[in-house]
Amino acid sequence: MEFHYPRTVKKTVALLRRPSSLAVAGGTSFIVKPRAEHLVDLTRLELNYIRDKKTEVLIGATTTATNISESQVLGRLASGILCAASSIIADTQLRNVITVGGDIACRYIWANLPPALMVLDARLKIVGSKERVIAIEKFFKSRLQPGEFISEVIVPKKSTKGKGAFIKFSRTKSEYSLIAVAVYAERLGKKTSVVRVAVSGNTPPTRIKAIEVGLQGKVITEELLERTTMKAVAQLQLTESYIFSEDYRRELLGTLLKRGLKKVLMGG
Amino acid sequence: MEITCKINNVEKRLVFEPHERLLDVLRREGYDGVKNGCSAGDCGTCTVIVNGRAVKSCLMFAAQAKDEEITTIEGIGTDENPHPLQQTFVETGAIQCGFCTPGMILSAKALLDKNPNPTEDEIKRAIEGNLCRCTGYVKIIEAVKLASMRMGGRRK
Repeated sequence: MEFHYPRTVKKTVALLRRPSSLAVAGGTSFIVKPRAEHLVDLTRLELNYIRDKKTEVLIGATTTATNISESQVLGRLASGILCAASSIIADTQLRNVITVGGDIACRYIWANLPPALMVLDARLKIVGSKERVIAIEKFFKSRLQPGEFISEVIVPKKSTKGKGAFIKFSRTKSEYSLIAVAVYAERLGKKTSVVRVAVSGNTPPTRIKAIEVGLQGKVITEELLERTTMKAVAQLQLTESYIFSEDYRRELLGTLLKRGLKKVLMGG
Repeated sequence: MEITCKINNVEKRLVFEPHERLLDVLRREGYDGVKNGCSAGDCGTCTVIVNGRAVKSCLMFAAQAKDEEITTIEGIGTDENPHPLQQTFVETGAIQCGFCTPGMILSAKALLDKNPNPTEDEIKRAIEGNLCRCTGYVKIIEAVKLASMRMGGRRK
């Protein structure tokens, strides 16, 4: 096994193209000896930044959860949903090393940032033999090619003007999310104009379009919210869990979704 | 493989296998104040400070420490001249079995270095990744508050 410290993206891509290579950002997911011949450190590529541009906010892939949770720039987007989501990942020591790129690339079912980024319509910049930008939702339905890695998260400002809410449920505060719920909404007068909802924990990170469509352009009442949420939750396919029954998790998911939706849609 | 890094303000050359954890390498080098508790990132006994931030050395490759500055419990005070946190942990009875103490103190030190006047909630948040099965945390929080005061912070 060999550990590499590339200083340029080009060198990094060349190293990651080798068979049995693995990108290392925070490194917290490799508790046991990783099955790879080449470990490639991404933290020396100057990708730890949050840049406030005219139409978007750019977050470098190795920006830590601590940096995100403390960012004033991100605090201004959608009620600070990204700060909220990153501030309740694991605990202080782990947030100091966990990176946004790693939280996405590991594709863990309990990850907090993917659903929060999904409701902001975030895109990912992926570098490899050539550069491409894809919606974060598409990332979870596709694979990276050999040599490719996530270099940046792009948050469009126009999709962050409304209100956001993030709720994590876990047995203890610092444990993995059993369920994470992210909600974003904009209003036009009395009606909603945009509603985006995403969850993780019970399912891989995913948008729940049935709720979005059901609540978009509507005057929100408690009854409509209840009906739309429960119908959508009943139809979701949940992953297996050996700890909690499916009934319990479905009930919980519905409750947390309603709580999040109420907060952004009815909370004054 | 081989790297250099600064441990407790001393330039060090470390030799290890690329898959080895920082925790194991530090202990082998004699820094046995870095405790091996759960080995899974839960308990916080292996906490060290890397570039001013508390991290868990069991979830870090030693290789990741290349050119970085590491502080362990050995680097913050001596028997004759303990760090204010070490002193207040003893005085308030924040130590019972002592196994969590190095990690607890380093998490608290990382907090006080950045924020000399933490609120109780900020103290709790700073040590949320450190488990203590003896004291119930009350005395520990008291110790951090007292140290903050002695180190020149004002109590909120």
